[in-house]
Amino acid sequence: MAKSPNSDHVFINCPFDASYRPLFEAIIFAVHDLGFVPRCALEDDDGGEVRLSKIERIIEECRFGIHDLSAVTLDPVHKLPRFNMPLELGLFLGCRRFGGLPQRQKKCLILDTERFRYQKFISDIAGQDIHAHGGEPKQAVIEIRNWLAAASTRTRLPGGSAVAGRYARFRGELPALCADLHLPEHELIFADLSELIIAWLKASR
Amino acid sequence: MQHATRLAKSAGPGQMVVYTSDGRISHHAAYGFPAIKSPARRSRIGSKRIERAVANLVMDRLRSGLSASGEVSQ
Repeated sequence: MAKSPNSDHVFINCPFDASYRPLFEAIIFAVHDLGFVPRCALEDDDGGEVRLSKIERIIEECRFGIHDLSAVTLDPVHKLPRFNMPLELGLFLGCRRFGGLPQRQKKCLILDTERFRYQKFISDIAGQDIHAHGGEPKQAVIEIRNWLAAASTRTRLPGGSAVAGRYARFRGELPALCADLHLPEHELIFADLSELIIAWLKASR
Repeated sequence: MQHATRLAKSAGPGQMVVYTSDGRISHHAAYGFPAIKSPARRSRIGSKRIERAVANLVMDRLRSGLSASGEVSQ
């Protein structure tokens, strides 16, 4: 029997490289601040689990999904696009369609740099919830807040500007936190970042 | 604690957090904000160290705030 997805859990499908890091941190921060739990393929490094199986398991466990297609551009070295994000979006949509009754509650937000850019490379997703962040963390936070408020129908979510303001303060204080922990920022893994955000939010909202 | 809870509740969205002397959070309550959920996986740094680092930051904020208002002198 198919599992029911957790209505607090949000699958994050985005690039994990350094150039995307500001957007990644902003998305994780916003999801925590809004009272949800971000999940992604980086959450554990169990070498025994095949990566695709891990992604399938996390998708199955999440009611919500945020898919950022902004990095689907040609790699300067290999001249090939990166297909991981569209693949994982396809898995999420397939799980919703074929995963049985509990999985039909799934909802997803698709982010890109420009609102209609997808028409040039993945036009079959027309009709989904597609929003633009313009490469700006603040705009990504606002889009996520507005979408989660509508998709979850939860009341009393803070406004997008308030969440973005807190994210800017967190970013400003992160170097001091990392210095206290004797840990360079670039060595923070997903689980570290999540717990730092949670502890900071408890002390700072 | 009761007075702090009343203040946190009456000031619109607010929170109350109580730290122990070693920097751990002993009590946290949010009023008007969504509750913060536990992460799916725990950090290897350890919750204790993370909470202590945030507590140090909070103390620095308070000291600099008090210092700026002239309530703390050298």
